[in-house]
Amino acid sequence: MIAGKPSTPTVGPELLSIRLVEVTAVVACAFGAAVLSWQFFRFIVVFPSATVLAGTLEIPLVLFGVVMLRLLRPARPPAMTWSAAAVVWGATAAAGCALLANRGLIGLWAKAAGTRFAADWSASLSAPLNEELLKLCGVIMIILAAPAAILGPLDGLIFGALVGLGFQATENVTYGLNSIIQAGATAPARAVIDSFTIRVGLTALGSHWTMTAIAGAGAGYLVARRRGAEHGSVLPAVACLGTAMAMHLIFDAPQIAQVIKVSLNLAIVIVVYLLLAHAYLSRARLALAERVSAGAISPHEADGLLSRRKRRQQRDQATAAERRMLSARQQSHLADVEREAA
Amino acid sequence: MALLTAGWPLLDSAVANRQPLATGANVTVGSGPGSSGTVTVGPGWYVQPALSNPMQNFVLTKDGVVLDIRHVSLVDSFQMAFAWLGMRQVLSLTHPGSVLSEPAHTTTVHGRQALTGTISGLGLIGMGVIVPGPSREFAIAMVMLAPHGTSRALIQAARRILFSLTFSAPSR
Repeated sequence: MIAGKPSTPTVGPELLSIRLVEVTAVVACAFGAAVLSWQFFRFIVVFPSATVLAGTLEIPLVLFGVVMLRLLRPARPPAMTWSAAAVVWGATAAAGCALLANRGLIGLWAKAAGTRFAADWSASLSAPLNEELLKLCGVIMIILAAPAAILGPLDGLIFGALVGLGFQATENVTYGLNSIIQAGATAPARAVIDSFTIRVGLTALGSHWTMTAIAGAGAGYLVARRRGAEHGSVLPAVACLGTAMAMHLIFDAPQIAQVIKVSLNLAIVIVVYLLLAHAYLSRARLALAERVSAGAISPHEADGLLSRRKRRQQRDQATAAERRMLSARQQSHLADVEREAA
Repeated sequence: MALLTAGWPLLDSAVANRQPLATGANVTVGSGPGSSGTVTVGPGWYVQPALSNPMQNFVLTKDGVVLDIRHVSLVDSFQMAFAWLGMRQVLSLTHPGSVLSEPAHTTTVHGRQALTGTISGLGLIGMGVIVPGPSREFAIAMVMLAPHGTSRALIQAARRILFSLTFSAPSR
């Protein structure tokens, strides 16, 4: 048999636009990383140990955060590649661009309203606008580059949280380094540890990951609307972005106890997550029930499909020969159900 | 993204970063009574608002002379011993190539013990001054930098500001 000459794959406009988005995202991340390096490079020269310490302290936080946030998605976690991309966007593109944007806007506040007003309010009047939009761009980039990764508000919430986590980690490092200066460089390592303790021990649970999670859920509502899903709508998308900005404003506002700010943000993200997860699972169960009645999936298989543990049990009960096939079938069914549920 | 990243800095750069200070104005830096220091400025000085934060530092300028008056929160009262080394390191961070001399003991016009030394290099001359706060849990670290050729009178005016430092009593 003579094999036909393989046809040269054509690059469709959709693939081309995805490539363009990917390249743009890489350039934005490189730009953000360059801005951060330019700003903080001298720290590694003058305070090498403290700078390494500031970076190292964030590694367990990021790893723990990524694992926990990916577990939030019912049935199965989001793709690792795009989860990592979200964290990297937050840590580089968003953080680097925010550094420039905030400096510009905070400078304007100081010039227009005076240094006292700026000291109290410029962060809370600048960061919600600049940082929430720049972080949200990361979620939008993933929506454009990987259309299957974010299908609805729950996916948006998780990817938003991952972007926020990356941003939070970079911000922790920069705050740690700046605290060296505020302590007159008398005890650089101690200043970094003190800053880390406050930012992780006291504020981490209500910081950037919560705000961007809500904004990301909003982006997810737009995706759901575009897919024609019943729950997709512009209004909740706008409300989510507004809520994220309000959360940020309150978080940075003076004269509100940290514990109140953190509790408020954490409570908002927990409530929104529970509502979205409940709705997601309801839709997923409905989709599964329809498949069972159509005979596309057995009731036994459907019963365990949405649970990581039950799927594993089903695979464990299968023979070695069946296992791979079962696993592939589970993934295929899950993909279909997720598309309807998201 | 580009709008935020480039737009705000462009707008900011279009607005002058200097606001005049009245002769005899008091400039207070710190986190409240008991942890702040106040200097008194002479005629013709400006504050750079975009680089200043009353809780942390003020940047004052006059004819090319720059004063950075910074509140330093010491992690404990024993850290004062490392304050001069700290100032040297901060200078090498912000002005690589500058050289801060060994410290000499001196007193402010209000009789506060202080450390002072000269700064050289990079075509600049200047001085550093550190005044420990009454609690020794904070200090005011001040740096004056001026281009070579700055008039003696202007340098003296800048020195007068640095050595005018006083501390407010903690509120009861």
